[in-house]
Amino acid sequence: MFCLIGVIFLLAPAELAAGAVLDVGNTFPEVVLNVEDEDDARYLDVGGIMDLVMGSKKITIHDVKTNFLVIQIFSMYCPYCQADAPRVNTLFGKMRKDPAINDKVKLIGIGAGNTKLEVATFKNKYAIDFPLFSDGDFSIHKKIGEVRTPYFIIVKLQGARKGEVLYSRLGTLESVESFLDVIEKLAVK
Amino acid sequence: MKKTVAVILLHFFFMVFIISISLAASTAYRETISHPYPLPLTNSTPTVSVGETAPDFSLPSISGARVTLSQFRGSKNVVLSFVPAAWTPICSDQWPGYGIIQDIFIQNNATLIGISVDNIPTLHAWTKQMGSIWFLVCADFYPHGKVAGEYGVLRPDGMAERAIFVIDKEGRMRFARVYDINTRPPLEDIVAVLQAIR
Repeated sequence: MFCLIGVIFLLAPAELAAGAVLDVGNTFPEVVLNVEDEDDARYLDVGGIMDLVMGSKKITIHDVKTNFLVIQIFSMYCPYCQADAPRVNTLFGKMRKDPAINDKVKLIGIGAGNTKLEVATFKNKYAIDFPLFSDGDFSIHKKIGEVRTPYFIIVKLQGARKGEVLYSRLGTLESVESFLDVIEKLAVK
Repeated sequence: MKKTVAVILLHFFFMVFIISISLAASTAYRETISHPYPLPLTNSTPTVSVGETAPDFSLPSISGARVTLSQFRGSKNVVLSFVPAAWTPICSDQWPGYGIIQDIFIQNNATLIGISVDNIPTLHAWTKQMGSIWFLVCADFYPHGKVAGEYGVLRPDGMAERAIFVIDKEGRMRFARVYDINTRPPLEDIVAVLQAIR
């Protein structure tokens, strides 16, 4: 009987935690991203362009100079991410053009289990202009609860409760305008 | 005695409930996928070494045409992608990625043949939901796993290993690797070989 109880307490937290890491209200886990592109470094305003001459610059999301960060978890191998890529590009274009959003909200993608070549292939195939990062060993993916793809998160990076997850959803964008509404409400607040 | 049995049953159903929660926590995209993973590793070894002539084969494809390896002799390098089974997670993640890299194969004068031991109707339904698939997809269904066996990648459980072979235009093996069945082969491996033999 005590073995049964022990199994329950061993099983439950691990299984329930998988979907809970990115729940709204939680703090986004500490993850390290490698910036290897000067344009990305400029967009994220993480400074240290000279570091890129020697390869890359390691950052966390808290190094990104913005109020809110939209994070797309994707995979080159995910047909939904492939189909969604044009919509995400449209989203990015509108974010950049909207003065109310551009300075306050930025967008990045993290390729779950994708090597550098796989991320680069996805980026080139769909002409993606926002920064994409490789998570080839799934280390980031594990920290964020091994979510499926595509997955969208909005994290607060300024003010009280920095790092708080404000939006967390599995699935394609479906409606760029609806997602922009969400972003605009956050940015204008 | 009755009280003990009742308590045990109560704990049993509670444990099943917890496990059910973990299964029900699976996301929407898992509804059509079977989850046999992680699968045990076996010690499959390719029967053909680099430099040797690759075994010829002829298999039915989902297009209806029969595909023979030697039909590409003299014209294209061939990448064979063996995967264990349709409607399983890693495989369902692997081939859709190849679906967007046709340009890499064109640049390297190569083609891709995906092979599993599933039958044609299964492969047809599975690849249909991947979106646009440009490459050939063949069923090594009957005789069961014959081609996989000839390449040394038929597992004791009847599935093919997750393996990549690259055969040049002269029919020689240029790359042969069996991967951990539970992980996806990196794209770098395929691209490096194709660029080396271009």
